[in-house]
Amino acid sequence: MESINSHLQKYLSGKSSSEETQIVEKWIKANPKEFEHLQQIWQTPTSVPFQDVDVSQAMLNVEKEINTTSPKSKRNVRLLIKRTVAAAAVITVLISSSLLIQNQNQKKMQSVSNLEIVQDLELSDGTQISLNKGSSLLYPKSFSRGYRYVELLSGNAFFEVSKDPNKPFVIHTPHGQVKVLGTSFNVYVGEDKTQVYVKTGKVELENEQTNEKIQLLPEKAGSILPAGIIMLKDVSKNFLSWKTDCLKFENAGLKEIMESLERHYQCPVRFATANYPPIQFNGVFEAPQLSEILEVIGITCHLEYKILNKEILLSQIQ
Amino acid sequence: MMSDYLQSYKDYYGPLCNYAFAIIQSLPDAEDLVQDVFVDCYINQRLKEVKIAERYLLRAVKFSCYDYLKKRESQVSLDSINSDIRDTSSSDDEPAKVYTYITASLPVKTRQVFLMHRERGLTYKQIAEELNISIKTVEGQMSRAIKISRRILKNLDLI
Repeated sequence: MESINSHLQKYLSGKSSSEETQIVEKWIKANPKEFEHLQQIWQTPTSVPFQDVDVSQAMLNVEKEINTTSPKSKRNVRLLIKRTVAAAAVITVLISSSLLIQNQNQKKMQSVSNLEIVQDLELSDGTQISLNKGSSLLYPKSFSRGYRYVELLSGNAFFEVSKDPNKPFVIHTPHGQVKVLGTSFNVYVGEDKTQVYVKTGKVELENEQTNEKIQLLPEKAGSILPAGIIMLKDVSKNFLSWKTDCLKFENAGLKEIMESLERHYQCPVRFATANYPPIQFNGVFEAPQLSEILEVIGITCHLEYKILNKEILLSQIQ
Repeated sequence: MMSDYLQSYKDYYGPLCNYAFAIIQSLPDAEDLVQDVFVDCYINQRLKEVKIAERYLLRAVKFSCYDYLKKRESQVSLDSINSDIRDTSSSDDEPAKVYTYITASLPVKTRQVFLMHRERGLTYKQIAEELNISIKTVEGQMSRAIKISRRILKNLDLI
């Protein structure tokens, strides 16, 4: 008993008997879309010759490139940033991996993970990046192909991308992509989202999972979340607070306060209940310590705070 | 483990390169592009959350190709960022590109018979004579080609 595949190939080649034709046409009625695709593939003229490639060599290349981006050390640094552990062994690793630009032979991507200070660096095309402490960035020594890209793995970075219409600049983050031509903007990579604030120029955000995209104009901001992308309605002045080391709140609601704190201190901030109390907070903090801000906001807005595993949990005072 | 990863997905490499080549017309760049996708998938552990790897890989390569084509255009203005990347993949020639992928996915002998029939327009009899095999064998190979095509179309969510 021949399978439908056997009948189909005869039918598509015009070689089926009337009996076989009947069987196939019955199948086509039940699977119209599938047949349409098969037919297109069987009959669309094409002139693309088959290319033979050296798979083993290619896999060696892939392996080499994976190794030179040292994902292990990158993951370790991120974990260390998240925990407030004081063990001596950890401190040794922190010191040795901070402020180091790893330079290996044939290395494609260089990594910068600075933990102590704000660091400025310039890429081979003249793009300036200001990287906040506790942030992690990967970038190549030179841009070979028709595009420029870096990876911001966590934290805050302010980019001044040099104009090059032929080579768009792309920043990969764990949540999506940020694409620009020539412009200045801030990217914050948190645990579950990437937020971008545009100072000058035009920036496009993309969520590769959902295929959503939006464009941001100056003084606009957007967030890339697992579920999609949103344009932020109220753009807080605090997007660059880590650079100015100043947090300003003008009739700020709880949501804005929490987001600003998260971005400034680069740690998640949560509220104990789903309903946020209606708060309007006014205040300016210069070079604030986290505990200092939390005290003031706590007293003014009747809130309590707890810090657990470098996460801040806020709740209403009962 | 990296070696497991490379083993599991290396069979997609050739077909993906052929697919990328059909879109961007440069084999060295197609290979670079597909290798980059493989590296990205490993580093960012993308295939862990995905049900059908083949589908994700093909789409990732497709998007990389269109990125590549956009950058290769001599005039890239701010406006071009406006256009939806999906608009550039005209659905008219999509079957041709998927065809390239499917053909490259066939086992060597199956592909040989398939291309002789499809590209050179030979009859089964002519193929059988040229390859010194029976017509039944030719039919068998063509059935196999259909079987594999259907499996791939299903994986790629096209049916």
